[in-house]
Amino acid sequence: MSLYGVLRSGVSGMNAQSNKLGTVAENIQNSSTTGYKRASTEFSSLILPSSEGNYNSGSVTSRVRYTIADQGPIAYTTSASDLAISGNGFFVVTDPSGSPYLTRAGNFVKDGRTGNLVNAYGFTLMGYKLGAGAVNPSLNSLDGVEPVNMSSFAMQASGSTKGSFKGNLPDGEPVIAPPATVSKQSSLQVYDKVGNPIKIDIALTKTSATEWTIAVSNGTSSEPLVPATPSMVLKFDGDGQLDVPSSVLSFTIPGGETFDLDMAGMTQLAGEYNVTGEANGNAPSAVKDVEFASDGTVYAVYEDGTRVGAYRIPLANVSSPDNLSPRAGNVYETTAASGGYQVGFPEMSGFGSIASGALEGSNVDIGTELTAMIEAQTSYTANSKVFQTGSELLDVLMNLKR
Amino acid sequence: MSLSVAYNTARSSLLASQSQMATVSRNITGASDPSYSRKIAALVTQGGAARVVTLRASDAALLSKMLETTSDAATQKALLEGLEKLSQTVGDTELDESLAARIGALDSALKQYANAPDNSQYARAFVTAATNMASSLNQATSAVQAIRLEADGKIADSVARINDLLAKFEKANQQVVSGSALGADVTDAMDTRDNLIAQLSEEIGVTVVPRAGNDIALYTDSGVPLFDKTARQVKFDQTNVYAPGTTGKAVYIDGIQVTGAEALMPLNSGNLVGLVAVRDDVAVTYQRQLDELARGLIETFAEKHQTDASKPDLPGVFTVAGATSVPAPPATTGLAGLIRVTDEIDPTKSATGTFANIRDGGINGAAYRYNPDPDNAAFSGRLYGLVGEISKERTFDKTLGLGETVSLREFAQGSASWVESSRQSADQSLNYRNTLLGHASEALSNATDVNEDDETALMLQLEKSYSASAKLISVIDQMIKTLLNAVG
Repeated sequence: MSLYGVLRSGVSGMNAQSNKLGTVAENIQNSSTTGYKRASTEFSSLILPSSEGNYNSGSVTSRVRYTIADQGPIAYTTSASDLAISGNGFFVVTDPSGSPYLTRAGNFVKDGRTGNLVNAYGFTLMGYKLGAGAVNPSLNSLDGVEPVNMSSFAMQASGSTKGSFKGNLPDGEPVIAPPATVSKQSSLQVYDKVGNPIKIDIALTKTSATEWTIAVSNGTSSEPLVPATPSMVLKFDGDGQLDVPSSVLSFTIPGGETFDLDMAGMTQLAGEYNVTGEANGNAPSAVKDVEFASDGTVYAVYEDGTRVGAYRIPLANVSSPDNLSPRAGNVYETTAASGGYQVGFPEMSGFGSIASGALEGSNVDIGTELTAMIEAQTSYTANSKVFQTGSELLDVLMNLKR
Repeated sequence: MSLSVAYNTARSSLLASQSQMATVSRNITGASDPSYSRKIAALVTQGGAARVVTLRASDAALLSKMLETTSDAATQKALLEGLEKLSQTVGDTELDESLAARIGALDSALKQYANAPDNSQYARAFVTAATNMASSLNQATSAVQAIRLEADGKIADSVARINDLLAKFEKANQQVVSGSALGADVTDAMDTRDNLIAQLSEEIGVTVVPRAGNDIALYTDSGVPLFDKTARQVKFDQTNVYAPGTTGKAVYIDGIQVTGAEALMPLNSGNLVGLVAVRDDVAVTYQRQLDELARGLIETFAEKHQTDASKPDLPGVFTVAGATSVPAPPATTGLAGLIRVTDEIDPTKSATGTFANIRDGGINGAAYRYNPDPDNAAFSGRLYGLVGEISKERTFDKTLGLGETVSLREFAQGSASWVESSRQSADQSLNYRNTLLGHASEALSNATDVNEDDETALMLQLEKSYSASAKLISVIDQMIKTLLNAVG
């Protein structure tokens, strides 16, 4: 039996090597495919039971492995919507029918028809919409994700909710004497709910050696103060520092939100008057562009420079990424061997970060593939020699009959 | 996958060298632009790949020093220009046109007339000298008002320019902020913004407050918000007619008064401050000096009641329309513009006018006549009395800073030298500020301007690194070829 066994072993060897050549061919053709992970062929031996003096040659089986967990090189591009993951994790994408897949191919562009971000293989990028407050995704499912849609960033205005006012009030300023009512005056630009700019005048009046009264009014007209008279007293200690550290002035902006003005940074030192303030909120303006932060937040950048977080892109991972099942278009599906989804956000522990304006290249190396090819070719030839030898020996055996 | 990685790295190195080279050429293009600041192409590497981030050379401390000196120099320049115009109205004290010379002329005409009180020729010469004196004061007054009107117009121009610059600044700032949020190259917009702030500092003292996201807020040097997200309105109502008593309108920024005596938070420097000082301070003080001089003249030539000492003195040769008494110090505003020579001493002006009224007095009626016999021409007592009055030290408004008791002539000279010394000190101050500004600009330009030698050296360095990367690619290519040959 062993001569036939030799023929069988030779054939099995040749099959295994041609499988290997197959993966090499695929790797080489995908050597510039974004997010492609190289496939390799692993061999394992099958040994037949042999008795003493009688060897039964076994065979070899091949098994294709993917190096999905292996990071590909990151190359920078000129498109800001090209995303690369540096570290663990996959983008969550869906095919046109809506089934979720994982991918590392981040060459997304805006689809003109739907406004979604779609990659070169037609898969749509999914993310969590950021409404009011943070999103809490479930750790093991992709519920609640929706397509990241660039057209949904409409013109937007946000009312001011908080601001700060800090600086120095001169110690030498005289205590106010009637008819004068105001020592120093400043103003802040705030916005109501629909984005109307409202100028808030802040009048500072020194009422005693260590006390300043602050009154806020809507400076655009001689309208009454906003509300009745929101005034507060800043008391300074002997060191010129605020006596009460928490000094937040709250009032309601006409047609707007409740506004908290933090005065914690005020001092009364023998220096010059020097007070600066800032407030959040913005006037309505159109979206100029979109920015992708490394933590996965997609910001809509408005014409006036304000950034508003619109989406957050999650990353999904599985316990054994190499056991994911590859599908056409550089996407992967979970299998029993890979384990189920674990969903998190970029820069959280166990997940990588997102680089905007960059792509993860294929992790195929032509040099390695070429040497593997030579190797496979040599082994294939050797196996064919084994087969040839077995076949010739059988011929000898046949000739004995004549 | 080492060969591919090497290939990828070499490629990104090529790209990086290209971007850096682009920055070098940008720097060389902008080398002669004073508002251009050097761009620095910084390399950031991540995962073996390099990307170029464009930064900009800047020095906030030097910039703020330069802004401050620019504003100070602008203040002095505006002040100097105003004072120079004033000093033209004063004229050279050695020449006939100046007020001091007019007083001299008046004095000598009077003396000549006193020596020959019967000579109507001398009387006529005195009338001419007196008329010249009055019209010089009238002209000086209208010249001062013209200067104030011009300063007012310039204030309006300055305010318009500030509003215009702030509007431009708003655009540039928006560009910087939104560009920064997107990670775009905003260095050019930042240059524009700095340039606008520099122009703004010529008009008004500016404090620059940098904020998060490359945003900038601007405050005046007195702390009034000029720009915070949006530009604040700078408001000024122009006054089109200036009379001696007219008070120019104040400038308001963000609804807060910033110029004038009642200003809550007065500006400290800038062209605007200089112009306001000319309009409200220098010109007004000079006008008060003119008025006081006019008052002194009226007082000098006043006539006394000859019999009743309790009766008031009344204006003589010099008077104002409808005058009922001799004005007491301080003079009423605008007196210098109203002063004129009475018609009673000039036969060509009035039917009752006669030269004899100078010699004999009595412009205000018989009770004020010094010479009891009007037909006797030999009485020159009144004329000698007037000569004495001119050189007599008299009381002037001491708040003008020209002395409390001085003679009329000394007062006129003091006023002229006050203008001249103010002009000189503004000139010196301007020179000093300009020198400072020169130093500050030089220090800033050393810190931020393009050094072409440096750029050339960098260019050579980049060329080398580009060649090295290209060489690397060719080596990798060779290695892959070797492998391919082995397959073949």
